[in-house]
Amino acid sequence: MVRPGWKKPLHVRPVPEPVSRPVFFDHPRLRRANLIAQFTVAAALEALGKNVSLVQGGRIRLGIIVGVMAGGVNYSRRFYEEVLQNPRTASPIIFPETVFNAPASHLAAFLGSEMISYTLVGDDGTFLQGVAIAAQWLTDGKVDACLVIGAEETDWIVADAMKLFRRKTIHGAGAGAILLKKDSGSGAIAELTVITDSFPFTQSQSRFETARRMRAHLPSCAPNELLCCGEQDAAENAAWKDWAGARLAPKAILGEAFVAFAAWQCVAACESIRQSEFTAANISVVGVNQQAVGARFLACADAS
Amino acid sequence: MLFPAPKNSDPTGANRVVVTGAGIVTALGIGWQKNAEGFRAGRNAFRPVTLFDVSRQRSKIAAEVDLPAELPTTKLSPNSICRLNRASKMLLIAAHEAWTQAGWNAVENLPVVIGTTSGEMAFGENYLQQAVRFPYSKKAQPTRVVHYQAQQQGLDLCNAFDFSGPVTIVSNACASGANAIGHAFETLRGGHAEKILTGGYDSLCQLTFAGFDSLQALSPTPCRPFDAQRDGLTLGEGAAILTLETLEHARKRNAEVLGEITGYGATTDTHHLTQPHPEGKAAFTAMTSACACAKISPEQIHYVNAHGTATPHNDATESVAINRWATDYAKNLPVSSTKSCSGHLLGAAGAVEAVACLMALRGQWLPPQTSLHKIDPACNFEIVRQPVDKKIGTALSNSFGFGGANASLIFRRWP
Amino acid sequence: MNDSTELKEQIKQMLVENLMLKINAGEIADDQALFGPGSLGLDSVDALQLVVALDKNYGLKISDTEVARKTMQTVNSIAAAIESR
Repeated sequence: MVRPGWKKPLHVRPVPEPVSRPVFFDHPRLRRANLIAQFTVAAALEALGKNVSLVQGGRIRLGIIVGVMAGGVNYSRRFYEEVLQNPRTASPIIFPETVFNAPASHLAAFLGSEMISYTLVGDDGTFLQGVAIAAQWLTDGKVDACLVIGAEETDWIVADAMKLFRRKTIHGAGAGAILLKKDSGSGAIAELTVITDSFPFTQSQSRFETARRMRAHLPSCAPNELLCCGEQDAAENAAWKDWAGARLAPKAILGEAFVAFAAWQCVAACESIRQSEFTAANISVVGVNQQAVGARFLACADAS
Repeated sequence: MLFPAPKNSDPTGANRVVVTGAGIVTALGIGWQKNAEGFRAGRNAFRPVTLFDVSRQRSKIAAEVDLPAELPTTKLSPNSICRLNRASKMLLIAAHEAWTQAGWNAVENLPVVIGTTSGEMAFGENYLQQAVRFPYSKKAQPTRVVHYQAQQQGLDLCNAFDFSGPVTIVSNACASGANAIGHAFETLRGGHAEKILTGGYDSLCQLTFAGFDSLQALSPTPCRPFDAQRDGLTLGEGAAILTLETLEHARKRNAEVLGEITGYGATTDTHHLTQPHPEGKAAFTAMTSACACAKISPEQIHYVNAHGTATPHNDATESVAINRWATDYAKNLPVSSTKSCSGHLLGAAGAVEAVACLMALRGQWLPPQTSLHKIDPACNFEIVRQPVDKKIGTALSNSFGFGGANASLIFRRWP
Repeated sequence: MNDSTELKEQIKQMLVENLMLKINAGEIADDQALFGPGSLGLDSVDALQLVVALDKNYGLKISDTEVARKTMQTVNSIAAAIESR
């Protein structure tokens, strides 16, 4: 990716062009939408599967929660560059799309879903905070099902900022989504059994301390259980040094995509349980700059 | 654990939720006292923008805050204090007022749920300008990256008052503040927590100002919500923080209660990214479900703090929704938009307007809109145009935003 | 290609780029309605963007919304406004 003023480009992991044109591209609301909104809708529709028609038919009350960190940074940067040149001719078509909740809004419009919808902003741990809110809505009977999506898009300004902190990190883009319901009816892939406390990084609590306390909220290592975690993170590695089981740490392949990455961890965990490679999976998120939080998924049969 | 819910949680949501502390910063002034006086008199706090160049913008005015020279003393380390910019300072001042009033002590696992649309956007703007003009200069850039992000403002509050707990940032455009308070309310009602620090904040910044101006949504003159000739909103900035706790927890430590939150409704308008559906179904449903949550009917609402941005679209739709929701009770339902005093504070609007409702309920008066010339005939309800004392027991506050985020909160006078 | 046809081609290209239309320029007819029912389906945000684009590309300044609505009905009406500037 070109970085203004630099000869060398920045390395990023963008989402490849779709092979065939997705059906949702023609929805009027997506004509002006930025990439993060398109990723959000694509991941959400895949997670919804055949439930899409039930939602559109008004037979499922669907909650929507989207977690982002950099969010719609592409349009925000482009719009501000135009403002710096001449506020009078800054593009009105771009500005509304810069609000953090634009992706959630386009998804709700595509589905015709008028229920409660939150967009959360924070580091990668924000995805599990979203899952916790979804669980609260389901427990309190506020919705029948809830989509939780993590999404990010690449931009030179984010890759540039990341270089200040971790020179070798490669910025990734994309989205991940999971659909949560209260009881494990037919088609359930895995059961959410735990979300640890969210331990924030504060003056009185370091990353090492929070990672250790988060790990303590999850059970000890057992045979055929998977650990989905980040990579080359000293605090996280120290917290999980007792884990002798299988690990999945795809950051080197998929890139650093913040909230989207945490979503992929959950998707990978649930998928490995569905294909009964593992009977349980722990999710470990020691975030970039906010919190350590973890979760646990079990195979449905074992959970009851 | 964030899941499963704690043992004593109660899905039927029977816990009552009270406000034991409130802090507020707007262009009307710093703190409850100055803002109560401003809202009660209907004082408009607009002036020419000084924070950035608006010479080529259609509108030149906004409700800018005069920050105090010194921040209140907190446990923030000196060098983190000097890294704070406008938004963080306003948030800290409001949080300090609420925290001190509530008399909370620093504990673990005290959730923070706050709304914002832009975090510390000024740092994002500075970062871009330097990154383009001096491509190899790293000077002060790391601080801008860290302190631009909204979650850092949440962590600043944990550090300032030496507590720790999950930090949740809700960014639902102009409904962020109301959604944040609503989520905190539901979390307490369901027994998922005992006390929560909640509210909203946003500071004026060039990107957002130019954005609204590019949409020709800014009025060149002070905004006139619900006026027949209204021609746009006026931006403002500020912050408001509430310390919420369950009634049981407040009674255990016999805390003074400022007011009670009894209802919350949140919906999504799927009509358009920036314009509400003319029939106002989402706003109607948000108000209706807030009343159902509070187990009261519209007739039992004594004042409505409208979203009332003074754009042609919002006020028209909100009028339709209020008329339909209040039915024939509308004609004696007092409504006003305090945005005519404080401006539109975007992510902080819902929080500042929640505090305005608590002030009105506590002081037994209605906040007027002194800037209204001729009321829009579409309004079947009465707009409060002069300062007036009034015995009121409940107030409803509306907050709607880009993306179709619609939220209504109901407050009850205490005791 | 005489000047006015070339201008209309440029206008169509400007429409596609500025309004992120998912069709190519050739598919827009010279007299096709751009706004309103049965048209290209543009809305008020597109109209604001078009006003900015006309100013940036052709120096055509439209400040009054009534004038804007009349000027931006079709590619033909836009071309006429540019030529008579």
